[in-house]
Amino acid sequence: MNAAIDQTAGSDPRHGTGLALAIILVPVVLVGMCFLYKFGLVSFTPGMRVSIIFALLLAMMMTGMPVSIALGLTVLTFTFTLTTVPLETVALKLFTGLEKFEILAVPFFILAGNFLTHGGVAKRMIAFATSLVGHLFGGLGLSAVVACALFAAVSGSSPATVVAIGSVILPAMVAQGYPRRFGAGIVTTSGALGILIPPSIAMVLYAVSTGSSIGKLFIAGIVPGLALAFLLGLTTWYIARKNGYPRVPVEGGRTASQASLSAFYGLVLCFIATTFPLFIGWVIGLITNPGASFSALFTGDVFGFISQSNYLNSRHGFALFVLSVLWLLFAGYLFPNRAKLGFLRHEAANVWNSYWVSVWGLLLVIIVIGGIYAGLFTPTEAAAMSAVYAFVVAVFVYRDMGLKDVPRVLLSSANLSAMLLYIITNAVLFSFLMTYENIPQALAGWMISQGLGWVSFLLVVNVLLLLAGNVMEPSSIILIMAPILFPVAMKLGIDPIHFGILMTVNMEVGMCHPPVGLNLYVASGIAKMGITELTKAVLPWLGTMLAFLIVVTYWPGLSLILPRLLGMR
Amino acid sequence: MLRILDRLEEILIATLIAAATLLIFVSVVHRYAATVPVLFPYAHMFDLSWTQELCIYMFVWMAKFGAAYGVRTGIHVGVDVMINRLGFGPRSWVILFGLLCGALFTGVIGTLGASFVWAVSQTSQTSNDLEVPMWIPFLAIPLGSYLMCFRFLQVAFIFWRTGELPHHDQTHVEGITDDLHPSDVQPADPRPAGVRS
Repeated sequence: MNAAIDQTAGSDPRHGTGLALAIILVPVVLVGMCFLYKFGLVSFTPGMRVSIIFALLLAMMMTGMPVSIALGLTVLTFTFTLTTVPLETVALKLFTGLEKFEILAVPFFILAGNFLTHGGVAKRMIAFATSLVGHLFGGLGLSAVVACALFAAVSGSSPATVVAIGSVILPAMVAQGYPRRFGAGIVTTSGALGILIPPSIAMVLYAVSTGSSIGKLFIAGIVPGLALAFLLGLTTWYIARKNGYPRVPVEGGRTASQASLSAFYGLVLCFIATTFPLFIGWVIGLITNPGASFSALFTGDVFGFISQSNYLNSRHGFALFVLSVLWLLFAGYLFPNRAKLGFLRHEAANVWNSYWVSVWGLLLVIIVIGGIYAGLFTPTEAAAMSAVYAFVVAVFVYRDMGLKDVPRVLLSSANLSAMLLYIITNAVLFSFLMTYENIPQALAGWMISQGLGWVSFLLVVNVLLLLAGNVMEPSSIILIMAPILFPVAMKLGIDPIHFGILMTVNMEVGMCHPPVGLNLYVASGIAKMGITELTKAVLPWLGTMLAFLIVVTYWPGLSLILPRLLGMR
Repeated sequence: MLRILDRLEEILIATLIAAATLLIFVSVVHRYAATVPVLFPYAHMFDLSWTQELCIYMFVWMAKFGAAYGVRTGIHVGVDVMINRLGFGPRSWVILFGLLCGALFTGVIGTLGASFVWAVSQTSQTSNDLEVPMWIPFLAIPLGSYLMCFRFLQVAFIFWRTGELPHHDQTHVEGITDDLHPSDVQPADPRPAGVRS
């Protein structure tokens, strides 16, 4: 966000002296008022107490101090002057605020994401995506969308997805003659999928601050994530088709539809090869239970895998899980670049090869989502496992990263996580203050007494979050807003999971538009484009996202279908 | 002297995050090893029930010292829509004000934390699983906050003297572009590997 400073630094160095004085004086005056109250010189009505909290927070934030510090100072001032809560509780809360095991998923996911970004996983996923959809309209642009969706399934952060995919595919796109703004627009918006497709740091933060289930949120994010990826792909396809952008040439003078068919055929083969252990399990089941019918055992294994959450903890299920992982490791080692087989030609061969090269990264999806869903790990453990796994893949399998790079990755992950954890602790303080003042309950009561239903409430929430997205970055918004809005949503009968997905999609939109869209800044750095130009480039996809936001808001089924189907409620 | 402190800080937080990750990994492996009959006797020799608590404490320490490191690297982001409208002169005053507020907050918290730790150390409170005296993990609050306060003052001082602010480059959030292998930056064939045929 500092990039904006350099752009708008006025020509007149004295410009805005009065405004600066106001910015500094407002919080000082507000704090002064609190102290006057403390010494009994003024008195506040309950309504004024509430407004003081928010005015103070807003005034502090406007000075440009870190959001965490603004939160902390507000709470500190308020507890000291306007309540009888001993101040030591504030210090204690700074410690106990982190004492939830779930929060630790955040640093682990950041660490895993860093290893994946540095470890060349993205490069291989892009190759796979290109072999799959590159020959359609939109070519590399479409593969960028698919690659972002794939990378989002292993990484929990949007900017990380933009960096990982964008820094590889943007130069390639420019070299192939795509307009720079086309590629930059795609990567900025598709990178936002990072927090919608699980794992997702934003969802962990939401779950922690509202006490919802991380596992459910992750599962619920899959369908909206894929739907948004499809819509972004459709937008890309349409724009590319209208402007006649290049595609990846089809081999051997065949038509594009032949190429699509061939790629699909390759994908099906990959799928069959991946699920091979399930067939083995079926055969074993047949041998060990001679009496059972073929179809019952087959459906038992294939569907048991996806539809019974306790299946993997059964003896047969666990053996199958281990067998599957071992099989994929074996296949990932053996299959790449050996497809000289007669039945694999052209695109199918490309898909086959690039799939088995990138399968190491894709395996992480199974570990995280499968592991959490099946109850093998808690989300935090899954995050730690994925960090270790990503380290092994980056350093020992792909070898894009040496052991000597590890301390630097650790340090930068620790830096980012500590920043987030610091906001979390201070946001916990703030939400403690909110509960102490009964603000969410009062808000809910007011909303209901005004006769506002869930429809208008969600509209208000969307507007509020989109506005907040203009000035703050997503983690702070979630941590500040979720504890306030969540109780109201519950009172109005909105599903907690649906509300979480809604907030996540909102955050995605906020990341893609100025003034503080993080994705935008990251993408502008990679694409070497100015923010203003990039903002225009993003518009078609941003429009798609906004339309999608409305769908997500008013169609809870989209978010809830998968958790319901899997019997998670 | 300062450089030693910087280095210690970096080593501490990098080690803590690595150790905590490994700790969780080992405890998960241990849990599943205990279910395999052959490995059970070996797995049973170690009691790892304390890992979760230790891991949380490690992360609290990592968070507190990492936050101080974050001040030095300028990663703590704020809302800058207002101050961006200001000219150079007034803006630096507002920024200085913000930095000093940071120092004030962390200083107050550090002092509160110190008195809190002192109070706890007079009791015989121990943690649930590790059974260490509770004031030892709590020590992270005063130490981390004071260090952070020092960092804020340091940044403010440097800003006042030179007008330079530590700047966490957003475009290098995960810093891939400068770490790419040379062959990736300027590939002979600009298309990703899968496209080549």
